[in-house]
Amino acid sequence: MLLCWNAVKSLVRRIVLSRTYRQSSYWREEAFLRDPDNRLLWRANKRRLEADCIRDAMLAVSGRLDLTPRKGSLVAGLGDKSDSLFGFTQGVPSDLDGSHHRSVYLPVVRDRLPDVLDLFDFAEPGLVTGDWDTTNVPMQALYLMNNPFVREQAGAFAKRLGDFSPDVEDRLRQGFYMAFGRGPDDSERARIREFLSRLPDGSAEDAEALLCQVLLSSAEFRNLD
Amino acid sequence: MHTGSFQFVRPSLGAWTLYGLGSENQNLPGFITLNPPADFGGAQNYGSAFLPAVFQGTKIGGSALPDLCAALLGKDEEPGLPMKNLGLPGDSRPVQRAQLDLLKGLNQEKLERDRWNPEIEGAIDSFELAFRMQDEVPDLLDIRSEPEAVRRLYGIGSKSTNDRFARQCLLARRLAEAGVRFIEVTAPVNWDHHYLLRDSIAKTCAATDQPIAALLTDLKRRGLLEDTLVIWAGEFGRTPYAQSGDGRDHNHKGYSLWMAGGGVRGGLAYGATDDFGYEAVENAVHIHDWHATILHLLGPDHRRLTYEYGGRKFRLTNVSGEVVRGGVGLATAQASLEISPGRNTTSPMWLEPLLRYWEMR
Repeated sequence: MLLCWNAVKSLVRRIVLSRTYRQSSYWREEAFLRDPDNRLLWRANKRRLEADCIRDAMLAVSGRLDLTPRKGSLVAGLGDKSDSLFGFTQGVPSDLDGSHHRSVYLPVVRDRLPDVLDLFDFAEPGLVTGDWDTTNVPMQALYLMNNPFVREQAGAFAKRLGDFSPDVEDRLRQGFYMAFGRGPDDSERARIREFLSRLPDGSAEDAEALLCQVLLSSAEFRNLD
Repeated sequence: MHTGSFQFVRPSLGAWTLYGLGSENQNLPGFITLNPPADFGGAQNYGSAFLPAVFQGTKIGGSALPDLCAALLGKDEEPGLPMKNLGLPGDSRPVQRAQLDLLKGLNQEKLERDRWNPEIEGAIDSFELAFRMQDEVPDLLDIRSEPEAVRRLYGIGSKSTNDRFARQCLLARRLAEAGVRFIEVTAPVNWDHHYLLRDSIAKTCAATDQPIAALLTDLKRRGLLEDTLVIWAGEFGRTPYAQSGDGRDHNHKGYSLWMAGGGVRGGLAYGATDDFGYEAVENAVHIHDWHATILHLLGPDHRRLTYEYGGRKFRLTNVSGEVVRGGVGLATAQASLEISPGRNTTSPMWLEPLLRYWEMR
């Protein structure tokens, strides 16, 4: 086959415009019973976002995403010192992050990845990796529950919703649209009401930040349908 | 020593062990490394490389601060740096529980809509595990709850020497007891005696001797030693001839380590160097042989413990390795405890003081 760029382009065009490629991941019982692994592509595959997209998605909904490239490398903060000093020097944050630039601008050092990339199965920089892992490990959950970066994005997300509307219902609907691309259903609304009633009396702003953190931590937020 | 290869990034011994044997405690990571050095391979020493990330070591505590610095800063808690993301002191458990219940509800509804989605099921499980781990880990790491007699056995609180390695060893026993499959401890001492050997080695030995003896005694007393393999190893030996007057250089030709517990026949020295201690001449054990032996003691056959990556099956021992039969019994171990007695660096001599300076910030 004669392979030139135009041929590749038209091949890609043909694939992405095909009915198979454009299917949703919607469940079909009779298809699932015959082909549970979706080998015959009766629907789109569901998949988890990659590490960098998870971080970018959190920044996007919090409104903190900075689309400009960062100036210079974060690693330059080490000066001429050894990379064994990550976490020990003032110059470089211990999670190798501390910015709101897109994840593509995070440093990839051979022996040491930024926490968020490391936790969510970023390709090991010392290896040739054809396919990224998708793991579900408690360290990821601990990160989403407790990491200051995640909490900061949740706080910013809540504040953004607060600016959007004084009405709780409006804010909730907008929050769901931003995080999941859909509105909340009745049972989700009920769960959220129950959640808010369980919180000790405090400022409403805190409660909404805690709620936003739940949205950012939910499986739906980091999985593509 | 860690991966069986120095050219390529390969899964570490601990990752292979966890991959082969799984974990016993569902509330804790199956492979924990205490105070690993950040340099000389760093995370690769406990990484999973092409094995799934779930098999990688969980780091507790970072590179230890040098003794002098730790004393000055008063920052000598063990382990050095805590495990990341375990929550902040001000956090309220009931609030987080409420968050997790909501999260679980949302995830379950998503799962019902999707009908079948292992990724969502996995997420529900891993959040519950994380919540339990958050409660269990800080208690496990808190060695203050140990009786005074046990602490004394290890040499904790002894004024004569630094007791950091003592605390690490006690912590290692607690982890082994809790069912962590593979534990690695890096002693916060330096054996890289290119000069001033006479003084330095006395100090290094004093800092490690009592704690490691206590660990073996303690494991034995609790009936853990018979199914826990204890490995004491560095990276290489030292030359029989002197360097810089009263130092010794690196020697990869003659080098020994010891193993105890878990199926190892005690009181036996295997192999020998020449008369000068320069080179192994009798029953030399290659790294692959050694790894094969460790896996044998733990259970898996090193030839059959494989993982497919890049179009072929990989093993810890590459394409060689023979189990050393002369030194091992028939019993198999349930857990492994690897002690790196400290750093035996490959850096040039002049770099040492600099590295030490940098580590002090």
